[in-house]
Amino acid sequence: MITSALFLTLKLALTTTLFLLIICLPLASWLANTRSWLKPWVESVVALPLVLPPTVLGFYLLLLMSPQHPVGAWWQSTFGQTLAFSFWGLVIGSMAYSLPFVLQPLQRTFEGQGRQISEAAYTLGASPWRAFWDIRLPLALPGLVAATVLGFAHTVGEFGVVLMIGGNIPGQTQVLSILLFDQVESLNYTLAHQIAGGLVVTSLLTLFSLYRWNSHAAVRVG
Amino acid sequence: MQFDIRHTITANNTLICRGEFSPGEKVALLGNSGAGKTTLLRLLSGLLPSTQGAVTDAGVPMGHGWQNQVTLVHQQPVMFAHHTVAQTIAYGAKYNRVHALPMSHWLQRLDLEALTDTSCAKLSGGQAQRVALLRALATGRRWVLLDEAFSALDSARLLAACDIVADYCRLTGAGLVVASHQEAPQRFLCQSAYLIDENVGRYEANVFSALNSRIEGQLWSTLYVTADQIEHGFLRVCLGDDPLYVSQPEHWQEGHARVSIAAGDVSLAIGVEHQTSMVNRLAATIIEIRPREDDRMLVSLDVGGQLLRVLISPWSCARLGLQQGQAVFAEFKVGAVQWHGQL
Repeated sequence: MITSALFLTLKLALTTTLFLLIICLPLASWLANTRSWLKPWVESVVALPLVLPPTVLGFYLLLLMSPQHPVGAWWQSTFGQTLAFSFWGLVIGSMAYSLPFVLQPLQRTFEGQGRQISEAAYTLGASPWRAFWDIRLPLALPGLVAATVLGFAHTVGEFGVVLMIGGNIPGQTQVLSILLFDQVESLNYTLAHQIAGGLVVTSLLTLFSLYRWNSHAAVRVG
Repeated sequence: MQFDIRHTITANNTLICRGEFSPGEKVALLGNSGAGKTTLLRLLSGLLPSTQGAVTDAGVPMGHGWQNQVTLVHQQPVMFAHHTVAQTIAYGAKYNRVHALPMSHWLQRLDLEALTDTSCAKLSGGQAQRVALLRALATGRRWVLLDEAFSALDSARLLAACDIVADYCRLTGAGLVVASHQEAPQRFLCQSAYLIDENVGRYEANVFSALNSRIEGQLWSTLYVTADQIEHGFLRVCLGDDPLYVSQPEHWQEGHARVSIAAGDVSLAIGVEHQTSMVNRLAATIIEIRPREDDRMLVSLDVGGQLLRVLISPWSCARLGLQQGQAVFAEFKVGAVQWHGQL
């Protein structure tokens, strides 16, 4: 039981972080450089998960994923299963929930580079695409590491969204935090202690190594 | 490169620049700080789109910074912290498929040889500036724009950097636009000038007349001469048939050279006199005598077909009985002659 929950949690966190990086790299790069009137709107929407109760997010996502909604219906007709109460439903929920934790460190790093870094690359003949891969991304490595670690750790630690849209199906949607809740409800304190203690220690070690490394890399996180 | 730009910087601040630099032309960009030199350079390099107007190069509209044939060295050298010096210069050469350039020789001339494996994040200001210059030259692009690119270099390095830029222009036929608060690089490298004054730019065909007229109270004349040989520890240059002596410069070769003389350092004499110390003496004809507001007389002389301006007191003027068309001798000390390089 605990092994399958642990495996599922890691799989969910890895998948979520990977997809978030794919979305957030271009988005952060755009936000760092744009002067568009859209910028504060995008920033506000992206930061919403920081202030909203996860249940609010979960509630709307659940409605969106239900077969009665066009999005949920499309998913069901394409993939032959409902999005809610499935692994991919969890991935989408986790992405919404952890988005600011991946986006913000990346955005701060790109902002810190200033426009001159790109300009210098352009004057050497590098297109914006090449300048991004050859110069800006390697220079953003500390921010990239911070974003990855925070996105991963935050996904491991989520509860509300997962419970709302994933439920508690062992092997499918039962991640560690849900299993912990389940064990406490059924007064199984021994297993609850193992899970809770394990999460505290690994999270602490992860954050410690990040901040420790970051003090060398001289980039602020969070 | 042709440009006709009206660029709105702020609501009531519009930079108006119109002009044409011919291929391979070396232009000094002049103007007080805040005049818009950096803005113009960014516009010419395609990094900043102008709000109105256009820049073209060889008849084609100037594309974005990465598409055109212009490279720019920023005022604050931009270093890519994840590169070593060798890597960053190789990155400059990455898109250069035209010119093979003596980069290792230039690295050596700028004392960067020992630093090739050093991280760009660890360079001092002067080192970064030299690396940024070489990285830009490695592109082999047709125009090199330098925005205060020599500001952190000491005089020996400045000279070497100027030599390398001149070498680059010779090898590639590239043109140059140099903005600099020091005059030395412009006097060494440039032929013509572009002045920005109160947001309006204008072209001046001779860099020296542009630079000389900017030195307040001091009027300078620049003479084109031929460097000849070392004599008595001085370099002898020839202005027509007349010899002229200058302090021996660190680097020189036989051939064309330029020297400048301040108007206040020249005195006028009539008739041949024997000099005891090493004094330059040029036969001249008076073109014009004009009184100035500061109670001195500005005498324009023709020396071997070139203009030499001299400031003397009205008293000397009257004592010598100077008049237009008269033959005189212009005399000045060796130390008064400034060496302004060879191209």
